[in-house]
Amino acid sequence: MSAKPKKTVHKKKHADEREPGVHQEPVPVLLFVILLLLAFWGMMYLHTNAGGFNRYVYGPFESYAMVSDVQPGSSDDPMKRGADVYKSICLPCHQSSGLGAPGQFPPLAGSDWVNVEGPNRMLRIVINGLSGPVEVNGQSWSGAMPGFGDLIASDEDLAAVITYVRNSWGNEASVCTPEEAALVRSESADRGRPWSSPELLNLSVEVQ
Amino acid sequence: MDVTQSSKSPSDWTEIDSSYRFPTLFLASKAVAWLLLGSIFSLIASIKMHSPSFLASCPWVTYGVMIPAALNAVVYGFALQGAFAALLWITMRLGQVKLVGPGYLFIGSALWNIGVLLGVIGIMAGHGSGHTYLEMPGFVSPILFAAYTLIGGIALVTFHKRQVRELYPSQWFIFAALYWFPWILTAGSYLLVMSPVRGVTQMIIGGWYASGLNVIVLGFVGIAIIQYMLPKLTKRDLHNGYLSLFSFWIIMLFGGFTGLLPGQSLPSWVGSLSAVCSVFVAFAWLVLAYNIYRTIGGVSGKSGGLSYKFIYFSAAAGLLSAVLTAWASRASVADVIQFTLFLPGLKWLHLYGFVGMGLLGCIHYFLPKITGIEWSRPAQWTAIFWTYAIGTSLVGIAFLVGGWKHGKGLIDPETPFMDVVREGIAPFVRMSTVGELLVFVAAALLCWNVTTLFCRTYCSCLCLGGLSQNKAGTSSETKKSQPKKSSKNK
Repeated sequence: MSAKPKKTVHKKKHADEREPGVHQEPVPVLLFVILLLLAFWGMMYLHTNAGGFNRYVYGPFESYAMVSDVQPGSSDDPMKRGADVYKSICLPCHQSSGLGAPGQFPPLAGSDWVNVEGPNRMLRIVINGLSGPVEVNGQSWSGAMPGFGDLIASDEDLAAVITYVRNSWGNEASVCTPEEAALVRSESADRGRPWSSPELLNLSVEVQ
Repeated sequence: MDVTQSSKSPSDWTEIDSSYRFPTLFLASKAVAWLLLGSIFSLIASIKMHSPSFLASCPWVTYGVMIPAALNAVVYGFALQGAFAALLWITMRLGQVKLVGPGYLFIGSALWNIGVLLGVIGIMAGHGSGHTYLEMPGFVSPILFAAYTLIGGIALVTFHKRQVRELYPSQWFIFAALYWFPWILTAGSYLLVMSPVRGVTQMIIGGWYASGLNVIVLGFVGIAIIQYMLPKLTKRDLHNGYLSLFSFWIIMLFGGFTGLLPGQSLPSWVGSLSAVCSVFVAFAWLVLAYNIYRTIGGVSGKSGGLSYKFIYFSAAAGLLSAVLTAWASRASVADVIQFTLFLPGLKWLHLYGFVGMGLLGCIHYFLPKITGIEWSRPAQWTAIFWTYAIGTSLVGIAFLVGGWKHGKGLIDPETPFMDVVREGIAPFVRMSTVGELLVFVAAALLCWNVTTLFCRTYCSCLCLGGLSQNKAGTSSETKKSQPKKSSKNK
């Protein structure tokens, strides 16, 4: 089966500098059998160790189910879900009591901006922010709130946190739906700057 | 092409040899100089591991600077540059072709050395990028790339113009390495240093670059050397070309994904995929080893001379490093060896044991042939082999065994931390310093020998040039004097 070595002529002239030739023989079938077995093993290994190729599965966890079990998790109940968003984003200024901080951050509890028929103005404030003087419950506040539209990326979360604020600390107002949140978000997509109080007061309270 | 056409007469060979003489000598002498520099840096870093106050007041030689400086000097200065010399020589021997454009090659290699020098100085001055294997400051990559375009371009054009058209397996590996390197260098340095990607993607690209550089570029040159030199030195023919082809494609397909071990802060699938790929690469290496074993089996090592020992060591280290990498990539093992010296040990085994040893064997063999001048002190080369082999083994064993013990101690909550340091780290770190010292001695001897050969070749060329001029002069004089004589006779 072995082919004869090549470059034999060269060998005669340069006995010292002979170049190696190559035998060409069929590769043993066993090699491909081992390759297939290795491929099978590799797939089994990936099946058990690759975490389903999920990008959230790291380190000691083996599957996405294990990862999501230990997550704080999001609930289908908008009040619970809204509470989670509120804790991570709104709480540092408006406080867990919803009363804000005297002289710095206006209250949400009992606020006449919150307890209105529709969430239109609230949604716009959360998405783009509010700056300049604003009157809350007859008291004048001056300051600036940044927009959180990018941070609260999901419409469900945005609607949930509005619903949560409108129905906590004694507030009683309507639920904000994800559709309303999506509509207002798309309308203010190009705005890029905070609202001022007079601008908002010109808008209706209901999402249209 | 017909075999008879491709054979060369000795005088053709002299012409071919002479076209490679100074380019390869230049590359080889610079390569061993970088090895010497790298081994000094590495030695300083190694001493600092157990004696932190050593040179502590100088910011240019801190541990965090010496480690990347040593790595980059050895990888880019020594390994890649030596690989250029070796692959040019193998291309020449197997293709029987004169070097195309030696001038461009010289410019390219000078530029390459300037690039590496600027890079190493940049690292020492504190401008390192922090990505392993790409620590050089961002402005160095374009210089290296430009230099490589010249060097690699010339190698490819020379390869293309070869007179022996049929390919020996080593040539596939060289050809692949030549194409692979510019691709990973540009992609890696663009995505990591010039316009960095974000987050975990950086680690993935870093691992991809490292494995591409080690397993494919340097690995392929190392394999090419082993597959060419061992049959050549033992005067055998390669057992089976198709087995080489098999290994070639497996390493080509899977080799680039082997650098990311489980336990790094990456999604699990990345490490697992990498583990599977490194098992495939180890399998390809076993096939390679079988092929080599069938080729040289039964030959006594003495018939191949000292070069045979170098290459044999290189092959053994390459196989060991491939198998250990596959073993280390298992999740259960990776949990033990993470944050220890085990991985630097693997890197060392691959770079110094496999690639470095192969390059040294190659340099030892071909420099005298290509210059026509024998090594003046063969005994020194025996000393180089043994000091380098023992030094490399000492460092490798110290890092691998020490890393394993260290890791085992760390994950055992019953063992106090200081006990781990005392028993798992300290003795092995001292042992590695001894090894690095031996490597330094070997590198110094090597540098001396190659530089001396360079100077002797240069002088002999000057003398030969002078001689031939003298000959021309004397012959014309004799021609002139002859008529005089005859006139006198008349």
